[in-house]
Amino acid sequence: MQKRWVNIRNTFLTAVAFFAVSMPFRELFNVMEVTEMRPASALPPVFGLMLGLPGAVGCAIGNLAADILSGYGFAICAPGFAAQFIYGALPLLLWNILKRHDAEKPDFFRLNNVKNVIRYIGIILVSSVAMAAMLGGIIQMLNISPFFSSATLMFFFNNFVFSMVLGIPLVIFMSFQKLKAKGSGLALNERFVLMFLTLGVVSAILLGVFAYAELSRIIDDPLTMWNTIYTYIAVNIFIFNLITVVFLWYSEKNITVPVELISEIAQNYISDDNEKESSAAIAARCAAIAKNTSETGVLAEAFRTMILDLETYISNLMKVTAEKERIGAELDVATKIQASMLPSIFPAFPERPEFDIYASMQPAKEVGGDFYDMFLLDGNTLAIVMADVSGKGVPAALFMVIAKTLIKNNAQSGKSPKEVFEAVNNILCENNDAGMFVTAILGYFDIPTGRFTFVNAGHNPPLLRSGQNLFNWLKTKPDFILAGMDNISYKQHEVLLSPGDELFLYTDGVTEAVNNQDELFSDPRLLETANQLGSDSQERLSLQEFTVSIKREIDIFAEGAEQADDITMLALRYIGGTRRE
Amino acid sequence: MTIDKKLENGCLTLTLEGRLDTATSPQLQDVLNPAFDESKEIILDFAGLAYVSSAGLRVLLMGQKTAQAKEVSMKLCNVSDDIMEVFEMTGFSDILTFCERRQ
Repeated sequence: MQKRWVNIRNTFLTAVAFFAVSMPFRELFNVMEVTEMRPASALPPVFGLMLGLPGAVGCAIGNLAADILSGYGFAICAPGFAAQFIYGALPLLLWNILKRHDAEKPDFFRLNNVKNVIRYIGIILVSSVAMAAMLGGIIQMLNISPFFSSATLMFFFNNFVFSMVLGIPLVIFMSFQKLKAKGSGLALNERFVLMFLTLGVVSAILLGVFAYAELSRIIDDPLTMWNTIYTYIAVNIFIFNLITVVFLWYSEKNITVPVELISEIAQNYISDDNEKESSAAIAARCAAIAKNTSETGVLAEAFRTMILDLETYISNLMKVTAEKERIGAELDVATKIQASMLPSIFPAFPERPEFDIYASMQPAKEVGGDFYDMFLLDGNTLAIVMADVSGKGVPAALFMVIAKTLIKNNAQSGKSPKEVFEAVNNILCENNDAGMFVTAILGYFDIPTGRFTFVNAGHNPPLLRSGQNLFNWLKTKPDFILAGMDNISYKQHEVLLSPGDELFLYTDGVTEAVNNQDELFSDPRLLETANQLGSDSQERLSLQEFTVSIKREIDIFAEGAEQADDITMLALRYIGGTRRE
Repeated sequence: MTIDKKLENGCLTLTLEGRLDTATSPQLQDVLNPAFDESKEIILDFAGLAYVSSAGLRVLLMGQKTAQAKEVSMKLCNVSDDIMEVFEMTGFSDILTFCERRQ
């Protein structure tokens, strides 16, 4: 229903347009009895191509109306009407035949590539010849002029020249309107084509205007003059279009169409969230363009390589990420296992009021190399261990598990601290290809007497506070680290603790914590901090409060710098008295 | 950390500058390992070294062991007091060989 109204409207509008363009020139540029300089001749092929049959019918009606108004008789009006209709319908017919060969059937005629430009020229040529033949036949029948005369040539030029000069901008304008209605615009190649065609049109019009200005003064016979002008323009159009077609053919093949394709591929690729088109398919499309030896071929090849690289990269990344997640999950478990290996329930020995003990470890990574231990050897002896495995992370944690187990097992077999370290050192030295080592302190604390017997294998010296005095280093000459070299002998040292005395053991994560200026927390700062804590209150801090406070001081010192090493502390306070029975 | 390598009269001097820690000790290991095959005498100049971590100690320990196995003399010179304290505390001062300060 709606389509019919559109057709009727188009018929009416084209009739009006044809009439309006036609009429003024009949009066102003009349060339001979039955014809004139006719820009309106551009309209039937264009309206036929762009609007279909309504365009052709409309032009025929418009012509008929103009003929009647000009006072032509029925003998001219009737065949004129038929010829005008055929002139409008023939291009449409030709176009419908030609477009069957196109892979992509266009909705309407567009001058969007060289092929269609050549087709347009061909269609106009055929239609113009047909029209000239028909009109030539008519005027011969009516005895106005013979078929083979300059009048017939005039008919041909009228149709061909105006369809080329005025028809092209009209096609461009109408196809642009149609594209705009569909919400799209001109493609890159189309713009190139249109730019060249417009240049040709402008040059043809200029040539026509100058030729008319010159020739109208020299040549009296309008038919000869117009045919001369038309010849000029036709030659101009021919040369210009030849150059245009060759240039456009080249640029279309090497530049504009490949660029359009590449941009379309790229556009699809980035907006293609659902992976509708696989990378391989896109790469194959690029490879087709990449056969081109011009720069666009290089661009397509680069894009193809990039897409394939990206695909590989993404799949690698997914693998790595999955692997990372797996390792992360395993490290989580490892962290828990390691944490559960260190005594972490305090008070650790609630049945022993003679002493208090507290320890903590904060690993720098998921798992750490530091460890501490505390266990009763018999009713009277408490063994304490503070140790640091070289390095951090998983390798250190693995070595830590071995070291911790060995020390405890050897200590529980009744050996003295010195004997324990000598045995453990030799076992650790076996098969230690990675060159790991441990610094450690092992001390036996004799609970009834307060005697602390210890060995130091290259570890930081403990801090000791005797009575109400300040903390002081429990300095002894340390022996060599564990697992460094076999058959090392370790020296045992003794110190006697009185009730109220406190012993503080730690790892180098405490003294070597760094701030943003790369300064170390250092031994003096630790000593000062330990002495300041609780000095202003009557009550001594609990051991937990003490270690937490030291950690807090380290954090304040570090100013948010990343913790570089595990931080481990152990504090022991001798209370004395006797065992609760 | 930077390591400057200089071979003089068959004696290889490695001048270390910066911090010898977890991040930089592999660097020293990479230089030190082939050095034992190049020269019978190696001197590590610690004058420009500010800090030695346990990872650094590990490399020195492995170097010392390799030196003994290959009968190469490995000496440390210009060791600062801070670093010497670390060596003493860990017992490394007993196994490493030190030489006189050189200009």
